[in-house]
Amino acid sequence: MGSAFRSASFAMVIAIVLASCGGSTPAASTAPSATSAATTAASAAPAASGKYDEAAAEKQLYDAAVNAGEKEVNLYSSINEQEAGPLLEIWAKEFPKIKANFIRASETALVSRVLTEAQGHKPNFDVLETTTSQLVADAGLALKYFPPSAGLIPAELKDPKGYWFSIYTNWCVVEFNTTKMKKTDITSYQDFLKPQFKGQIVLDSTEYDWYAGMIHEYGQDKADALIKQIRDTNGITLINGHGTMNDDISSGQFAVTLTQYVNQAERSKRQKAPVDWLAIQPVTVITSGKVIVDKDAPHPNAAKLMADFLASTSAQKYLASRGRQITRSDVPQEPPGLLDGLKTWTAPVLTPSENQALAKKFKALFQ
Amino acid sequence: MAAIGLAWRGVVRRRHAVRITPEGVLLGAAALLIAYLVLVPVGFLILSSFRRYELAGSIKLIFTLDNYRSAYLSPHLLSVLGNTFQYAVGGMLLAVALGAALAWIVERTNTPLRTLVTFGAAATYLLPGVLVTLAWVTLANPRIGSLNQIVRSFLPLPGTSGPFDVNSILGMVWVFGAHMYPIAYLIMSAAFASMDPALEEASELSGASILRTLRRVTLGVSRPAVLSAGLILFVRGVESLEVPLIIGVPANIPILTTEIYSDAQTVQPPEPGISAAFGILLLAVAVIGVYFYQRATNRARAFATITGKAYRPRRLDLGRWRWVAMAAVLLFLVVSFVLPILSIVWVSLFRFVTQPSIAALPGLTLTNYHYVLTYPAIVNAFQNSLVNSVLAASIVVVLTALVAWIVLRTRIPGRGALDWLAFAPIGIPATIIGISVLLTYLTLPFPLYGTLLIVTIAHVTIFLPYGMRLASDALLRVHPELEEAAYVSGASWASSYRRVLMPLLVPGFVAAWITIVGLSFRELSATIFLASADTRFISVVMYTTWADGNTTAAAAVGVVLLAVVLVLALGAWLIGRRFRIAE
Repeated sequence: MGSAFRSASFAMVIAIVLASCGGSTPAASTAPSATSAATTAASAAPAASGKYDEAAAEKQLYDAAVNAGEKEVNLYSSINEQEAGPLLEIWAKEFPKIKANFIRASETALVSRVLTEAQGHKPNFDVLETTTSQLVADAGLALKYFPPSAGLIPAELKDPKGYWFSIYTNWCVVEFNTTKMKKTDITSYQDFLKPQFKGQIVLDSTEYDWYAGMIHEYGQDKADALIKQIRDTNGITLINGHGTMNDDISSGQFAVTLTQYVNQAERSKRQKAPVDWLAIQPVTVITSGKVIVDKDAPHPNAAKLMADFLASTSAQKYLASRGRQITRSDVPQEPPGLLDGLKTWTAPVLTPSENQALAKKFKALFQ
Repeated sequence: MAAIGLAWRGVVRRRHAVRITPEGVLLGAAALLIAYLVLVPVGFLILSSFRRYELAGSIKLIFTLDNYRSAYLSPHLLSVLGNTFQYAVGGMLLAVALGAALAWIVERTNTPLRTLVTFGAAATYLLPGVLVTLAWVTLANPRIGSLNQIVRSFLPLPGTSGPFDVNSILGMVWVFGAHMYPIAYLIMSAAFASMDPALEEASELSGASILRTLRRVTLGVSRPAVLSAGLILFVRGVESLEVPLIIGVPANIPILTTEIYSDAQTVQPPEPGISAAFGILLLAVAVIGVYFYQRATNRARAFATITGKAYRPRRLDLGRWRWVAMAAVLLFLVVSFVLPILSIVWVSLFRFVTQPSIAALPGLTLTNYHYVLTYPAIVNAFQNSLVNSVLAASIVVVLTALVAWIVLRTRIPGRGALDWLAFAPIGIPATIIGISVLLTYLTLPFPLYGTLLIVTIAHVTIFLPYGMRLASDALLRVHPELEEAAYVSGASWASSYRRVLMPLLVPGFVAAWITIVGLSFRELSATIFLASADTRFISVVMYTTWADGNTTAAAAVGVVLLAVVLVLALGAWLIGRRFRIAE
């Protein structure tokens, strides 16, 4: 045992030497630089819908950032790693003199981090992109800013006060394993009562927005009665995480989700997993991917440029290619017409107390 | 206060005279450093538990008891507590039993192939908890789990599911115990490795059987180590999240952590206060645990197995039973390590999660490995994790080696409180430690934010308890007479520590070091707050990859990580043998 312990220590020493020889040293903190004195070029007001010169607008901001000495921009985002890599490569090609520092974490961790940094009076993020960015706006940390392309984003996907805008949305659909059921097996929620789905239905344990959509469509009592009936007849297994639900459907552990984000289902489908999805009308839309610019951004021009970039044609096309449902009306979904003909209802942004009340009712259905 | 007193008074105290000595300053500095590292997050924990955000155009923190209501006034609190207790106690008992049994086989018997246990334990330990849990779901899902399918193909069992069901309290206990036993193994191995066989020989000469000797003598004398392992594993069970989230939630077995996690996700903005309110309970458990540990081990000399009398470690000859022991060990390694790793490797070879079957083979691909090996962030994350974990483990071992000496070898008032202080972080949720460290170094004029060092500071704080328990156990095994003999011969404190004590404490220190390196690699909750774009960590990269729904890519990250560390360990072992590093 003694030699094994020593061996392990030896291994770690070797590893340290190898790591030190091969790797980069941890960089210094991207400490907030002095606020640029240069005025920003882009307008802060929403642009009129329709025409504007995207490339010219971006160049103006890019030049302003470079002239102000802004060599990097800090993007806090919950976009997944595999999506962010190529997206930031597009940024690097278009804006080679400004390095994008990507800090990825969950929505909860990102907002906590931003609020903590604000309490320490050291704002570090330039742009925040996550599903709950509006909370940071509520904390008075956001700049009132829309990119020039904002006119091409539907009004319900933007903050009426002008602090955030969405770059993609999540749509609630039904994901199913194609070896266990056919698309025509379900056309309404009543079809979940069929005997073939006994023990085969899953639902995310925090699906509050979808539940709000059910209440909007059916009314509180009828929505609750329907969900309870499905629960009592065939059982509903709660799973934590849409990604895990997707795994369970792909692997065949379960046959069908009561609801799922369409980009999860599309991603697996494009990877040739035995999954598909269908929409039960009306489709609840969960707004997601809200972008805000820090009002005390360490790199103010680069921050606006990043916000513009996330809503730009190139970024939106890329996100669409990854199965995301983008928000700009002039950039087609992929494949085109993916969501055509679907009646939608956009879940509103709730106050904290409204959200808690909704969550309490949802949890009560399964206790 | 005791730490300050120590720093000023020094260790050597002559009658009616006080001298400040170098060792006194060193020991005092160590105690003060621990006090600083721990008191800040403890204070933050208490404050946070009574505060919530109010965001109305600015950030306000309001006083409230809502965090405690959310954490403890669930309508099903009793059943939640009951589940939590069953899971934590069951997991702890299983992990300690497995760890102690394996440690005894490896250190005290002549079982063949016992070295494999060390590698198996180390490898199991390094596997990320999320992947191990998912692996067991794949293996032991009652309907379609691979293990069940294999067993059912050989045995004519009734029904259409089982015989194994991971979606149960027993399943959760197994997954926790089979993954966490290496902590108990490392602690018990250090204890058994330095044990004088005379005690066991005396027991055998008196007619006791091997098992009776093991139970009454070997484990009796190793009581501090058993208690340390039990305490650490019980607290880890109570604060465990991965197994309850991935298995407990779908199985409708609510545990305290999943209820709190669910509440924390529900409340907007996200409230660290709820985690803090839960942390108060953990802190209470830690305090009570240390109190009972101190009571159980206050007769330090009773547990000293290394004395002035020379001895040679002796292995028990099990006779024919050594082959049974070997078979049991191999079977356990296959079940606890080989099966999960095969499951993880299988998952990593597909674009989407696929149950093992012949029909699935055409879908095999190396896409995930191509992603892992070419994604620059992953290489950077691995390097940072390695440097950070080695640094954190080294600092903890040095600090706790000094502080354990203060607690066990001096009569300074308040030394018991120092022991508690060093153990307290085990009761503080890592999220709280992360946030408190972040806030501290945003406020203090030290340019640490965004660097590797700020993460190291958080990890040192989080893993102090492990170092403290193992350092204490190691020191308890050494009889004070050895140091007394050195002092009487004129040796200074430093000389006595370095030349007499250190060589005897090395097994315990190495056990602590390895334990902390492994835990540091896997640490996520605090790291996620402190990582920056240039200082990324493998635990965060892997977790976020999994959370994004890319389970197959996360599996590939886990396999590559494990392969690299195992290759390094094997290389070091071969080099060690080549240069004949003696036992």
